[in-house]
Amino acid sequence: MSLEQLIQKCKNNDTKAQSELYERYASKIFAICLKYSRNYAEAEDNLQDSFLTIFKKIDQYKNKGALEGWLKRIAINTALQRYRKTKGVFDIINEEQIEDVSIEIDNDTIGIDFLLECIQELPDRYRLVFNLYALDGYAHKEIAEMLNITIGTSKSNLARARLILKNKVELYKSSLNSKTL
Amino acid sequence: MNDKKHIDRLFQEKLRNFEATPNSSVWHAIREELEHKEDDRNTIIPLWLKRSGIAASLLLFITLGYRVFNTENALPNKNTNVETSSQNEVQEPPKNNAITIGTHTKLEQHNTSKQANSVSHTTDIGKTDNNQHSPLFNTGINTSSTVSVPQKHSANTQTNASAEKSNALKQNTSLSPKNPIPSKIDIASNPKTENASLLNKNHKELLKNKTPNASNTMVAETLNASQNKTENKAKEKDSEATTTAPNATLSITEEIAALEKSSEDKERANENTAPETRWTLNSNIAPVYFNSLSEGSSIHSQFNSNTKSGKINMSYGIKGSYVLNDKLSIRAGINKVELGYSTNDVFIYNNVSSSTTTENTFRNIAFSDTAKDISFISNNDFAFQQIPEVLSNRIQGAIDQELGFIEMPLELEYKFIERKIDISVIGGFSALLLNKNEIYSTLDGQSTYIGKATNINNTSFSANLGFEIDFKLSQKFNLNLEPAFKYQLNTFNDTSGNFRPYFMGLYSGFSFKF
Repeated sequence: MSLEQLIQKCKNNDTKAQSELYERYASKIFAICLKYSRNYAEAEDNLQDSFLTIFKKIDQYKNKGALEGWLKRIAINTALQRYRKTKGVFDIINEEQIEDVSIEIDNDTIGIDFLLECIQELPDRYRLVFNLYALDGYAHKEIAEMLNITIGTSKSNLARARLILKNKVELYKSSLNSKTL
Repeated sequence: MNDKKHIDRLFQEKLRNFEATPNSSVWHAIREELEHKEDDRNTIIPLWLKRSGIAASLLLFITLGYRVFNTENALPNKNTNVETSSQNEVQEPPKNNAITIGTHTKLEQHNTSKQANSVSHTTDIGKTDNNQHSPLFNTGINTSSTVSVPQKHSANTQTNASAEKSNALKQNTSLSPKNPIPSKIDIASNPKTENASLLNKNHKELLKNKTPNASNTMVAETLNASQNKTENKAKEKDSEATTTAPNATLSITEEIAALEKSSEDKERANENTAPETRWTLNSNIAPVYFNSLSEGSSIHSQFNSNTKSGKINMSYGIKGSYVLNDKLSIRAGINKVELGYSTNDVFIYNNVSSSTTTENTFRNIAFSDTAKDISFISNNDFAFQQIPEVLSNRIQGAIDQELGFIEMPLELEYKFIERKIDISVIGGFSALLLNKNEIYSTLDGQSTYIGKATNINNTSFSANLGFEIDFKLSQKFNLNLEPAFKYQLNTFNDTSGNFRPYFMGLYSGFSFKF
């Protein structure tokens, strides 16, 4: 079945097509969910909600742009939905700007699972900003709109996230080194 | 191997082609949800089911009600005949006279028919229609000519009377034209054969109906000897009037009386054993308390462990019950009931920017247009270390869910203590028709309407268990107190955790027996 046919059938609420669409994209979408969630269980919830939205809104998909991109955007939005907060509450904490300390040396022995864990352990907002900016290529302006924060806050969140991640990776690396030594 | 790298690049490179296969249970959950939505789309049926349910219960009430009144004192005739028969009764008498004169030349008969008319006149003065009808039957027994008198009435009453009754009357009509010819000479012998059989039929029919009319006619026949205390005085008067008139047929009535004596005794025996009043009408009002038996939420899984506080609302309605035997009765009714509960410790906030909406996270809520941006998060899930305590204390709110139902209970009542105070145990079911469905967010005592729940079935059921305590105020009136527990079986169709809603009420009210 071609992708167009699949989408068309999904629009007609064809159960088999829905199943196939899920089969094709679930692992990619789930990866996004894992990155944007606090833990595995929450990622599963987000995956479920994402696909429910996908099937509900698939008739709004006009075959413009890649389907995968559209699906990912829905997944990201679903994840963000969970952490949208009132503006006032958060701006109080995050007004201060942090110096951009970012570069660090690393080798390639670090596993995906560990990196994923690092991301998931970040405070919600840091995690979202880091994911959006560093991994999914959104600009600070977009992130600011999506999260209902200022661009400055988005930048500072990113910087803090990087700092935390760097520290974690360094700590991990040193623990690896101490084991090997 | 050491390489200088931006931390971003490290993650980018590693996670670029990252994929993860989710647990198959996720797909099952999605599938279920999708099917559920399709079900929702196809639920046009419950609407007519709901309507027809109401119609059916109304019909049931009318039918049952008809039976009550019918067995009690032929009131339905009265009800439907008020306009027609009352007019006829006024116009009828002279007409009847003309007919009876035309068909019967004998003076005695003329007298009897006159008598019959006079009876119906007197009964017009009398208060109950029962009296009007009883002489008709009485005259029917005595002479065939007077049968033609009720004939006219029967035409009016036929529509209301049961099929059996009207049959009996039809038999009378078919017989009456025969009678006049021989009755000219012999009243005694002819009615003896014709009327006696007719009476038997008549009586049998009436016995089937178990109407007091039946016993009334019997009383009339045997009145010369009757010292019935059970029947009312008005009835006695009527029957006296009719039975004393046809002296000629006295011997027949005696014979008939003998024939009927046995069945009459049976009838009376039945009357003595059966409770005199079988029907009870009850109005009630109750404070009702709604909550869930165990942890869970009807709104979202994140609120499963939040504290819930049930609200106390009111329920009121009416009930009718029918005594099956001295221990057991069946009852049905209609109640309006409102239920509500609060999910506490909820952080309520506004989404100013939103591309995807809250409706995915909170798919059990259909947000109103004005509340589209409102969202919630359980304080349990909320990372409080991220915000100052001053703020965290001020943003804690609650979600209030308010529901209203039309409740139609069908219950059995078993009386196990029967003294001055009766105590019964009650078990049964209620059909619940949703008529109010609102969700509010409450923050600092201010409550805002945010929408309605989408996971409540329009029609649902509850299993009921309760006790009824009856204080006898008088022969007819009781004061009731009824603590009841109602476990809702399928009110919600998509809940999280172990949400098992119930409501309890302390129903109090008056009941009237008839």
